[in-house]
Amino acid sequence: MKIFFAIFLVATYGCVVKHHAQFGEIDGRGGLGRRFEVKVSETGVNLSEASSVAKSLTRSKAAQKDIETVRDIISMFQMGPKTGNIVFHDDYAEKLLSMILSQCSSGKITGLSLIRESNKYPVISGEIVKVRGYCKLGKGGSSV
Amino acid sequence: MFKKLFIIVMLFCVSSCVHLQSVSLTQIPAKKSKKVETEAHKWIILGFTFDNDYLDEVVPELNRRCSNGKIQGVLTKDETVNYFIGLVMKQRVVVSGYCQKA
Repeated sequence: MKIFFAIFLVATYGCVVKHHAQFGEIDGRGGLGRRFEVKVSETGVNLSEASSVAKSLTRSKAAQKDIETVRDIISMFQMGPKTGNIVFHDDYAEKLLSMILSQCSSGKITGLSLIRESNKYPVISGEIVKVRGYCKLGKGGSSV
Repeated sequence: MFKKLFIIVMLFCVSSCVHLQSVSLTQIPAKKSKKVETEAHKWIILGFTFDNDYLDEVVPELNRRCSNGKIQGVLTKDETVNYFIGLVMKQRVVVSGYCQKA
C-alpha cells in the first residue's frame, strides 16, 4: 500500500510553474488566422533535491559531507537571477524562430504569446519555452 | 492574550501580497486611440497547477474587443497574488493595448 502511494505521488507530481508571460501586437484585420503553437524544452536539474537523494543512498557521514561540498561548489557557480532549474545547454531556445516560420511559411504572424514555464518532477524538470500565435493567410491564400 | 494572538494570526492570514513577475511592452503608436484591456487568472491551491492554458483566451478576447483592428502598445503585466500565507494564490496576467482602426 505504501509503495502504491509512493508511486502515485511520483506519477502525479508534475506541477507547472510559470515564470514569464508576454504578448505581442495583435492584427485582427481580416481575422486572426490559423492558430499554431511551438515549444522547446530542456532538462533542468534541481541540485538541492539531487544532493538529498544522493545523501539518502549512503550511510557514510564522510560521503554525505562530500556530497554537500560538491553541491555547495556547484551552487556557487549558479548565482544571479534565473528562472527554473539549471540546464546544461543554453542554446535550446535558439531554434524557436525557425520552428515558428516552419509553422507559418507566409510569415504573416500576429498575436504572439510567449510563455516561459517549468514542468517540475522530482529532481529534474522540463524547462520550457512555449510560443503561440496566429498565422494569417499569405498572398496565395495559404496559411501554412 | 488569546484575543491579541488571534488578531495577529488573522492579520497574517488575510493579508495578501502581490509579486510583479514580469512586465513587457511593445512599440507604442503615435496616435493613441481606444484602450482595450483584458485579464486572465488562475487560482492555485497548495501550489498544484498542471497547465497554463488560462492564457489561451487572452488574444481572442482582445481581438473581440477590437474587432477588425490592430492592437499596438501591448503592455503585459504578469503577477502573482498571495493569499492565506501562500497556501492559496492567484496567477494573473493583465494585457492592455491601443486599438487602431483604419
